[in-house]
Amino acid sequence: MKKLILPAFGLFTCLLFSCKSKETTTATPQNNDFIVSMNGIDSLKLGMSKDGLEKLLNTKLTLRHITVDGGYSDTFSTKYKGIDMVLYLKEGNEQSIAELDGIRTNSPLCKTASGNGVGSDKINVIDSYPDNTKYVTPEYEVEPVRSTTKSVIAVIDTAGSRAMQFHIVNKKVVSVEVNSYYEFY
Amino acid sequence: MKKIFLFLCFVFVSICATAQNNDYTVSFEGMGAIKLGMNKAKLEKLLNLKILLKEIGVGVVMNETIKAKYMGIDMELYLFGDEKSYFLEGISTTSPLFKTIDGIGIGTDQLTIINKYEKHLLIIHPEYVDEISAKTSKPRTIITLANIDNYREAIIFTLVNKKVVAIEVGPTPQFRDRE
Repeated sequence: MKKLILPAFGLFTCLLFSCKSKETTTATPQNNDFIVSMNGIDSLKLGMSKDGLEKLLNTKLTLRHITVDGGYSDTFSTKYKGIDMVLYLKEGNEQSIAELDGIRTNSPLCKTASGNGVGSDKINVIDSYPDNTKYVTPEYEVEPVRSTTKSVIAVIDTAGSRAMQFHIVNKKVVSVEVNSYYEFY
Repeated sequence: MKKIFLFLCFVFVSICATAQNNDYTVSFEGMGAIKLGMNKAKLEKLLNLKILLKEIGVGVVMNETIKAKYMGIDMELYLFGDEKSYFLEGISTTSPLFKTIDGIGIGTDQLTIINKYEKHLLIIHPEYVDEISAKTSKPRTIITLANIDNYREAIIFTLVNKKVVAIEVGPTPQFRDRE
């Protein structure tokens, strides 16, 4: 009986480890993950008005540039359901005043439908979007000097100009960003 | 004396090998001795051919593709301009003899290109069968390697099932209209 228990325990341990490694290579979003898409992250949707954002976040966003000093964008560091987010607002129309133009997060809880997020491999991100145009480029350390370790993959929407950007350090995703418009510079 | 002779032979063989490699080097400037921007006279002299235009000059057409041989290898040349002054805007080949200085050529896989050119801009997309409907060709991928110091210059790799099957040098298509 003792002879049987040992191999069975070994087999169980092997199975446990193989399941664990499979999860890290082909991660899929879990129930408590926040879905990143071309439209936004979870309930934060690109194009949302400043008012709509304030209600959702239950916080006041005080503009420093839009309608104040002639600037056309404002950036806010905030928390959404306990997660650190950076929100980029652009000038809106008379009614909305300012609209959500981009979102960036370094939370591992935010993942795309294909399971890409913080910690994903650079090559996995590229392979996950065969139908999309992707711009893969080194990031600027300080313009005009480009980094040798930091890069960004911009996955462009097939129908519009929206993009999901995956910021990479040493071939691993460190933050995810969604924007209403991407242009290489 | 024998040693000197052997040394000279070695130097001679090395020079020949280097010259031969340079004949097939793919760069942002061109392929081998064929350089982008060459005019009619230079192309005709280098390739020992007479260029007879069929499309440039017809109406407002300003580009034309011609087939040519360079050191016995089939090439496609993309000409741009008007009847009186046109120049070489792009070149493509499917010959495995042509390689970049980093050794990227026909048969190289996608991962190698991505890892090799981390300091440049790579634009990766499926080949479009129909640009308007954005219908794509599933197994064919285009990787445009744009020079990070001048993003208008590109080496364009066509891949089938993630292996390079054709190489082109020319302007970066995505930035043609950029001011």
